[in-house]
Amino acid sequence: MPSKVDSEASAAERVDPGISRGDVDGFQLGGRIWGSRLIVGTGGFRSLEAMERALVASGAEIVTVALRRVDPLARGSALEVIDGLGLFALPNTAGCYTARDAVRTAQLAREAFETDWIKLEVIGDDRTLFPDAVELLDAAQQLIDEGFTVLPYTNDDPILARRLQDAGCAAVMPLGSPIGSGMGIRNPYNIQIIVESASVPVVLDAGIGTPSDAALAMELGCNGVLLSSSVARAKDPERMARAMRQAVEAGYAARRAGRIPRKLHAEGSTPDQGLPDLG
Amino acid sequence: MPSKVDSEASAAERVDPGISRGDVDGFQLGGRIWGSRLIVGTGGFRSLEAMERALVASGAEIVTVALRRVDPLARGSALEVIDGLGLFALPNTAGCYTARDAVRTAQLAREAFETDWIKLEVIGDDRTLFPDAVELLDAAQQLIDEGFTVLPYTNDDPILARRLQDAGCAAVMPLGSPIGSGMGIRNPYNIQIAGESAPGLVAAPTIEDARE
Amino acid sequence: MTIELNGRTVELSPGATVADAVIEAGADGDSRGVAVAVDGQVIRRVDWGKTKLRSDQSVEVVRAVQGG
Repeated sequence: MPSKVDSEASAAERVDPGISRGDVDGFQLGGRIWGSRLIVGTGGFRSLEAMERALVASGAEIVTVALRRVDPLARGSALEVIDGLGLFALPNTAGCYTARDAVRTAQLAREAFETDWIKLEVIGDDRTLFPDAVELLDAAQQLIDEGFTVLPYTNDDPILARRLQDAGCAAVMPLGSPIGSGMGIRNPYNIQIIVESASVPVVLDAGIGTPSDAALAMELGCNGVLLSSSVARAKDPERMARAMRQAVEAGYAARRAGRIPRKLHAEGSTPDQGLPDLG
Repeated sequence: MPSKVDSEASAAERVDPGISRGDVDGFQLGGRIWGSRLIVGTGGFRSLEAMERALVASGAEIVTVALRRVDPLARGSALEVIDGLGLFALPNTAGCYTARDAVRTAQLAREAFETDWIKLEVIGDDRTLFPDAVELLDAAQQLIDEGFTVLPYTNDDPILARRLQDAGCAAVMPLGSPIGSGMGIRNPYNIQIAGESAPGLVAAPTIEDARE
Repeated sequence: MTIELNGRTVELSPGATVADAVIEAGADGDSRGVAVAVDGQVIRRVDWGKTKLRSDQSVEVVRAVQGG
């Protein structure tokens, strides 16, 4: 059935439902209030030490982790570092191609991390890592029925975002461009449409290359940003993590501040009135 | 299951496999060769005369038409003009929100136009007119089972494009930007990837809705 | 008794439980961040010690790793 979007809703409500509910100082996600709107992945770092320094610099409270077969030879553990920093480990279902695999991985993650939160990824191929819309929605519905708090990595399709929201997802996390590509937000129009029609938080996930991309996501009205490679693979991950933190804060502040409209012609800010006649 | 795309294919093959098959002079679509690669919609014109002149000027051989309730007061008919010009009328399922409605509309169109070709549109809302991926794929599968030649209007998602191809669609027709928006191709990267993953099946976004 | 453990064929003594397979797989004592599936079904942590394995079952023992 068609879903009519209420175009009468005030701009502020459409921009950030959190703001209109008085949530000006915190990021509402999954029924909790978070101090940071930046979620950071833990993959791709050169060492656990580099990861730890970057996570601290990012100010993130939520960090993503994956599940893989136990390697008896592995030294140290990402989870020990995350636990040591007091951060919330959000498991993902990276590498799953079907709803069935993603549901099983989420069930494993629930046991491993004692959390019903899951970053749901169901991808369509190994070259684009783009989500498979049909499998994703199927997995989301099954996991919500099982009581999970589902945060789906989705493409930038506003219709799929609405269906995920209607299914009961706690957020929608559209991609800006392919995972790890650093191509930024390829289609800001679609992100804007998703933000306008969403009643759950929108977290821009994937494609961020540099802090201006993260700032743009927040200026478009996203409630948060999730990134990994742009920090982990930067020359100096710790410095980049700090830059990303500042960009997310700046973009969010700018969105709330309300930018000036774009105009074709100049409009000086200095008054013409009282200009001296200098002959 | 993962679908591995053969990155060894030559650029030319990926760009237009038709060319590499020696099809340099025609556009293969639905098992026929067409002289024109431009498909034009017939909606939104101010008059049938304006439509007729534009269709002739476009050189299009395929033009899209819709089905609506019979209006006893309507003067003239788009189909008469199209038939008069000897063009192929491709019916669409515009205005359908569910697979069920789209399949029924396609069945009506098959009767009305005596063709099993259908431009399949299953949209998700009336503001973006973006396709609903799940309903679209469902409708495509049903229509292919019924023997239709299915040309789906889809979003610019390469994964959905591949699934439509795998289901047996005769083409995939990704949008450049919202219908009628005149916003051009918002995400050329995705169109490029869709072309690589569904080689030979990506018809150019139609200009149908580039209305005045 | 032979089972498939993380893709390897391993020999466990008859009557071995999921908890034994976890140790065999190399997961250390602290089991936080570790989860087990037997023939695709997740086994809850509290049931590891009382779930006996049978020959030819496939056991996956996974743990947290860095990911995006």
